Amino acid sequence: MTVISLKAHRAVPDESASQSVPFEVQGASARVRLGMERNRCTPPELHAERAVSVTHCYRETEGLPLFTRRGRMLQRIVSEHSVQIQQGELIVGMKTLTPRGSPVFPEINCSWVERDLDRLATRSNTPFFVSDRTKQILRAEVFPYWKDRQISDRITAAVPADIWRADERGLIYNYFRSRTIGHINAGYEKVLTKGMAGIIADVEGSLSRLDNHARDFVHKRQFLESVILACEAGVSLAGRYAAETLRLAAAEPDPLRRAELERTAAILNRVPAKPAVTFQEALQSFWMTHLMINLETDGHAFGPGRFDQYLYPYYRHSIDSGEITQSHAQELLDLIWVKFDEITLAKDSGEAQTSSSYPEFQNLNIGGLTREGHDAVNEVSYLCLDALEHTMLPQPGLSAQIASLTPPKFLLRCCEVLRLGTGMPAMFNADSMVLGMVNRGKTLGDARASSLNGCVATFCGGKDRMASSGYFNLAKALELSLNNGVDRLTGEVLGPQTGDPRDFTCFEEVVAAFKVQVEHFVSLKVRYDNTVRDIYASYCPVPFTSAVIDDCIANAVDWHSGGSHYKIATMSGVAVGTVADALSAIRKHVFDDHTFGMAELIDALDCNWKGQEILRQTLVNKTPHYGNDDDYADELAVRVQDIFCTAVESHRDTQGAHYWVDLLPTTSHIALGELTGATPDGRQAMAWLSEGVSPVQGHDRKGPTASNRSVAKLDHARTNGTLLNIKISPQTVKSDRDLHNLAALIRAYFAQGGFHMQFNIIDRKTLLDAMDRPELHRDLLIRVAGYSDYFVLLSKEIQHEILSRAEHGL
Amino acid sequence: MQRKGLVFDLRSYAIHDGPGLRTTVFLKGCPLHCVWCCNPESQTDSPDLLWLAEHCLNCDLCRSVCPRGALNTPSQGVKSVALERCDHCGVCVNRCPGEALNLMGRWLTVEEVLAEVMKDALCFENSGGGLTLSGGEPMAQAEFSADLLRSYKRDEKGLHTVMETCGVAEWASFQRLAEDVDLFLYDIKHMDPVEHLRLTGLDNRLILDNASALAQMGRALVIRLPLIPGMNDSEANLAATAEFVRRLPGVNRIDILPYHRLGEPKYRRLGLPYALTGMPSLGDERAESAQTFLQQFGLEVRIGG
Repeated sequence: MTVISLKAHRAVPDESASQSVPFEVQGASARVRLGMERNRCTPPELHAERAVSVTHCYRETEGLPLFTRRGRMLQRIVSEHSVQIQQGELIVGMKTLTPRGSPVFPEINCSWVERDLDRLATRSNTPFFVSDRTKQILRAEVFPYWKDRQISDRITAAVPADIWRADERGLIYNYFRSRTIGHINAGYEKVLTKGMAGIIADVEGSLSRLDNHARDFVHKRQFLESVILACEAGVSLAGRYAAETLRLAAAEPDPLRRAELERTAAILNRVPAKPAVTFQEALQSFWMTHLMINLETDGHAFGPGRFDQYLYPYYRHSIDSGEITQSHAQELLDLIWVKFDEITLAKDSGEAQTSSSYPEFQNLNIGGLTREGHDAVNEVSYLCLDALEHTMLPQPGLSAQIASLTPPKFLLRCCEVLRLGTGMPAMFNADSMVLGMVNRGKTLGDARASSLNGCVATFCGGKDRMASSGYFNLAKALELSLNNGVDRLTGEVLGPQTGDPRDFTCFEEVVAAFKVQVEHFVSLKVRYDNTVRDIYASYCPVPFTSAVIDDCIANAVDWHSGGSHYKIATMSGVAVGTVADALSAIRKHVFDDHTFGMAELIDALDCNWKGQEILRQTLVNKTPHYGNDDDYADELAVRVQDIFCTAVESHRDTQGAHYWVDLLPTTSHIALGELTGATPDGRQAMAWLSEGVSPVQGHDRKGPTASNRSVAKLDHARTNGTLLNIKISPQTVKSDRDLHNLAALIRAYFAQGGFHMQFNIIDRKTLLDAMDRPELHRDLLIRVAGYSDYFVLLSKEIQHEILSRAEHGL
Repeated sequence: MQRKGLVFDLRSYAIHDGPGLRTTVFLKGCPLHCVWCCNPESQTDSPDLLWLAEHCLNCDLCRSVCPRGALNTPSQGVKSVALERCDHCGVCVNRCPGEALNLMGRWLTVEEVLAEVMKDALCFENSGGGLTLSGGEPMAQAEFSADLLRSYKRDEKGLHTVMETCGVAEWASFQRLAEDVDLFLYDIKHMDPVEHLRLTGLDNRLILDNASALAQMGRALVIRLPLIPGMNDSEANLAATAEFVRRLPGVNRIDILPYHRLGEPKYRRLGLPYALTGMPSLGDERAESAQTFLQQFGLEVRIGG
């Protein structure tokens, strides 16, 4: 462990305020590096504290109204929370006693924790250390109470067998079954401008307006009262941190550090209760709000949203008044980055497999448009990019919104940062986002003020409810349509009997069968999602989240029950590329060229290509593929999207919200692939599916511009988000000229309607994998010394040479 | 009938063949035969049928579909083609399931090439990029190159054009298309005519004369120097090259292209001998010392271009 002396490098904030020397980025300050080092060296640990508070509270409040119990639960969590200020911190507040630790949420789902407790520390994906004491406490005080009381038990009991079977067989997946709905872009701006006191005043106003003749009067009153309890909990959490900070200050020998602690304590005594005035107050108020949301439920994707927009007025105020310098502001932002990196959550081992990393999708947006449609880039936008450059941390997830009017300078700075190799910022097309949001019923101003949440989903910050409910495996639906509704891996009848494919006489019969299967399972998944959503509405009100999302207070309806101003439901389609290529193969070889018959193809699928390598290679190599700007195949991808969107868009949830499609897979294309039999694109049974809207791995062979043109043919504005991964070799982004080219590539994709792209710099690991499994990396273009070729076509010797250079380049 | 060109590759997202994002059209056939050439498949002026042993499934479908019986049964693991019978119709290539058979070189019209190139027009516009003609040697198909450049310039309102050339062509051919080329990336491989002949198969008289004439015309030139260890990297040759470039009016940039071995496997695939087997790629240090040396002559010198 590297020990960094804090005193030797201490930034001196106040004295430097009068200096007019322009600030130069020097990298992270000593205290930022100390925090990064602390996070890096602390193993993620599971803590019992929250679970104990919640269990005691639920025990003691049995018989009270649910809203009251939930409000009291938050107060109990806060009052028993271990308050700790870490060395060198200016912005304080921790989710657990150790950084990167995870609480347990027994009221949602603790049976998996009980099941996995002894192997949590040694599992391969995202292990968490669990002390013997923690195990003992959980087993003695927590687990016994929650049997049949957890949300997950209620979901298990409520979901019918046919839905579970479709889930287990990899057709549909719902991620709320083990964690709360999440996907929250809180109205941080509201907390900064009004303070908790202002929000409580709003609640009181709403209480006074309640119609005591209405049938749900008592229900609404109880809800609003719980919101007050929740807001008060937020204030008292800050108060407890203020007290601890003052205690430390009194014992601090270093006068500079003492002054810092005293200032932090004073700030915590003002916010989040009152409106923020300075930049540091705004950041502290933001963090307390973020912490409360993280302590209330265990959903993922609690996103800071349009961070540079709501922080900018406070930054401006503090800089203009001379209260801080730009370098001090930068340090505060770097410190917030370290705080984001402290946030983790222990997940069910099953889910850890589909989403195998610690980062919790805290999507922080910069750039984009103002509500009025002007360029929204400001100084804080650039400082956020600098914060990423200084810390190179995986959290928060940084997203840059790029509109056609976004200045080139900002785009180029984004490109410069993304070549550092973190894959961030992810680039988003703000114009396409606005179009889509307006289509989904947002006002123009709200559409422009929207942000990305999770990985690529769009959300109107502070007033929305949008949560992808999980995946729909389009490739599995195709499998059923090519097997008369029977699962090829298990032989079970899962879907409607759409006919023996050997009898299909034209391509349109294949498409018709696929459509029937999609419609059937979309309906099934809607039933699944609606059931789960209703259980959260009935058993898991979220008074704090409701406090910070409009119009839960005005409507006196909890966020989980649909109280927000906007709400939509979404479903994530997986494997558009695989299905497009599979359909293209059938059309080309069976119905256009008659290379072979349908029976021959189905037999080969049945035996997973055993002894059929020539047939399989023909399908792989002699089929027009999605991703090469060839309409023959691209048109089929467009049709697949249309079939799925049309099926999904006809549904509503029980709160009246329309269903929409997004096309993002996280890493589910691997897990769902393992449950999917062989597909006519030549894919082996149980192999990966295509990812996001990307072409099948290795099937796009005409370079990134052709691939982007294909992908842009999909109707991105019709979705609530699409995801496109692009691999680039380090040599292609070396010089400033290269950055201009990268920017041009992004602008061109966005001009064609593309929604999102993120860049992974090809590293040693990718190259080694390409040497092992060349079939998955046929698209890997390598450029060395002015000559480019597909990596997998090079001899082993040359590959090794490139490998050694790639290490150099990084 | 419209004139066709023999194209062996069309590469979009070319970012080292001139400014911005470009699409590079590789024309087949080259009058030189440089011993270090990394694109040996580009040298001949007819299509070549390429067979990759590691992709062959031994299904023999190629032989069964060949209308002229030009393919032989593989013996000792090698498939052979009776060149006198093969007319490069591509039937076997289209049927080959493993992509073991590849046809290098297709005859395409100007319209066909431009239709492909212009798909990336948005990228060109956003980056200041455009069309690059390369090879082989584009001047070996000078009339087709001239037609292509003229159509592109006329239809696309002056989007940027680059030609990578070794400079071997009659002056009249250059004269005809020079106005439609915004930038020549012009190779000078050796200043000594005898050495040039030994290394490339031709002396350098035409090359140097054409470079001077293009510069006189006021065309933009960047000189490219493939730096091959022990062949053209002596101080004497570097100095002579620099002196020559310095005398070209309006030209003051040399791009060094360091020798690399990426072409070697292609020789094996084509069944051709590779003269430089075992020679390591040129190290960064050597390229940088050549750069420093050339800079002494007051030239702008880049590595890699």
